[in-house]
Amino acid sequence: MNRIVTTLTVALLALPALAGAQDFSIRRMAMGGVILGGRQGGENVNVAYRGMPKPAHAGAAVSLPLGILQTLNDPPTFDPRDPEFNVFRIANLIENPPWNLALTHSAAPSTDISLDISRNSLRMDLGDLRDAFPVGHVRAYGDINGPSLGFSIHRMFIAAAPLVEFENDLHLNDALSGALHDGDSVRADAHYELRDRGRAQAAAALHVGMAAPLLALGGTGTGGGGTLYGGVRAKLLRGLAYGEADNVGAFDTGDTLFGSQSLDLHYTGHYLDAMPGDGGMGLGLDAGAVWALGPLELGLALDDIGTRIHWKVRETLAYRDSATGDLVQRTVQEGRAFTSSVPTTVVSNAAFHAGRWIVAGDVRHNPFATTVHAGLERRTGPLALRAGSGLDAGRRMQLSGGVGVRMGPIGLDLAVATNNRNLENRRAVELGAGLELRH
Amino acid sequence: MRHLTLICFAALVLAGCGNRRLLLGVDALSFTQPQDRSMAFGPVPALPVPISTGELAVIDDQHVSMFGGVHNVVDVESVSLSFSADVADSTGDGLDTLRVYLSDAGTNPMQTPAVVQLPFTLAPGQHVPLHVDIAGDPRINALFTEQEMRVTVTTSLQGPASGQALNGQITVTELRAAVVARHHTL
Repeated sequence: MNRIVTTLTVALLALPALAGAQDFSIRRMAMGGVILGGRQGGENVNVAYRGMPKPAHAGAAVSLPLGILQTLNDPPTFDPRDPEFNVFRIANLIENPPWNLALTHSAAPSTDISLDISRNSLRMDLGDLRDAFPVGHVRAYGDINGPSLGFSIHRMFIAAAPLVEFENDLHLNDALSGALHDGDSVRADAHYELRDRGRAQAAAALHVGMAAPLLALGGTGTGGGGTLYGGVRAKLLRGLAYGEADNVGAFDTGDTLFGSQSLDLHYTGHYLDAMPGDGGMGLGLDAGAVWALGPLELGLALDDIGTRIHWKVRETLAYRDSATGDLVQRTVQEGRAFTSSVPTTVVSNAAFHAGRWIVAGDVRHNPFATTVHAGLERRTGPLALRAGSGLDAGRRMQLSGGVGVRMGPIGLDLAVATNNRNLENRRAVELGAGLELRH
Repeated sequence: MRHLTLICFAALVLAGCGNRRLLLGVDALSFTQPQDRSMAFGPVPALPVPISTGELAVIDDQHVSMFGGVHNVVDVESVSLSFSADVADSTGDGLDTLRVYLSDAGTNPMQTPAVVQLPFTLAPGQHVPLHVDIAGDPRINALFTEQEMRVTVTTSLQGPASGQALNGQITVTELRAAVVARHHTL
């Protein structure tokens, strides 16, 4: 029971990270999710932006949860006894929380699954579920370092913020991938294996940092000569929840698929989990620099340099008892000292603000994913036209576009963007809407 | 918890699938050796009062290994069984009854009622193609959730009242199951 609570807690805490690709800034969503430059929301990924002057008439923007209304209108059932229960639909909701309005109907896999078995042949037709099985490695990663709530004193700032990180690496060997994804027959004398390593961790962070102009050539600020801004952010962390699972499932076929021996599956699992009471302290560091040269900004940031969190974890092993066929779970150690890390992310970006135009691009890289974003905005009176594109963590190109209308202190933003945030890896389109209130 | 690893596998493709069904086709005959699917019979002599040979095994207690643990994940909705055989009568008239027995791994098939019983008439020089489809037998449904089952096919011959003795060959050509299952309702 405790494990279930832990898993759910970590999963819930990881939801924002899972939805990392879902942009809650509608303006950025329309521009491919790019870092806009200036002090317009880039502070979380490049702390040096905190040292830049705030733009005039800076306002607060809120994204409207259109997708929640859509989901409430047709909610999924969570009752496994209900004939309409569909775990794939629930998984899609987790992978893509229904904040924005889905414009394409993402039907959960619904076709029948066929298995044809004979003594020396096994063929599976998984129907529309086959695209859920990867070819090679599939890595997922998400992290969130905000929003932060705090105050500034001169160049220094103190803030509280959540830190959530999620990563998963799923790998099917060629034989299994072929059988599940491509519909190949299961072969004799072959090894079939699935490995999955997933981890999610959440912590409360106290940020203490400083950001300031470091070097000015011919003036300060973006409107004058070149200015180099720098910033560092130390993070004092308190672990809230940790969950890690390393699973291997495999089976070996003999010279006859279904001979005198039944086909046994082998399974081993290694789990680590910790609840809030098991969380210890940790430290981390973000550092960044922005070079502002007139309308051009170039930024480089290293986030989570040496970020570590200490835990007292419960370590569990799971395996299949070869004699009984039962799954055995054995707690190896309670309260084992364990230190988790958060991978360092390198963020580089460029933004060009020229009159009514903004053109921006960024690249974010860590051991699990490299994403690229590019976008532009053209303002004409109260109207703003936006477009963008990018490569997501799966190296798929995504497209976006949108409009913004400003009416006095209120602005309305709409954005349409593509994504592949579903089990079937199908291209989906969503609509986001937001309001901006200006001072 | 038994067969949980198999559950993991099956759940991967099945769990919570709404109206999704698992269509499982099992070629049970392929699990037997070709030489074990055929039997020559005779001579069954002509007798004024014909006497049955009793049940002779065409397929003798063959073990069929299958995926186990399926019952933990799915409810078997239906199993339809197709059985085909070819009987070649080389000499003599006669009567025959083919029977198919299926049982779980711990039970001798012959100790269970036959799931198929096919009486037919033999005539010299003729081939008798036999085919039967069976569906809706809860006992068969249950067998297909097991990790292993056992199969026996027998023939029970009766020679002519006069004339040449009965001789021939029986070959089982098909023993195939089509299983329809749905996600287990907890």
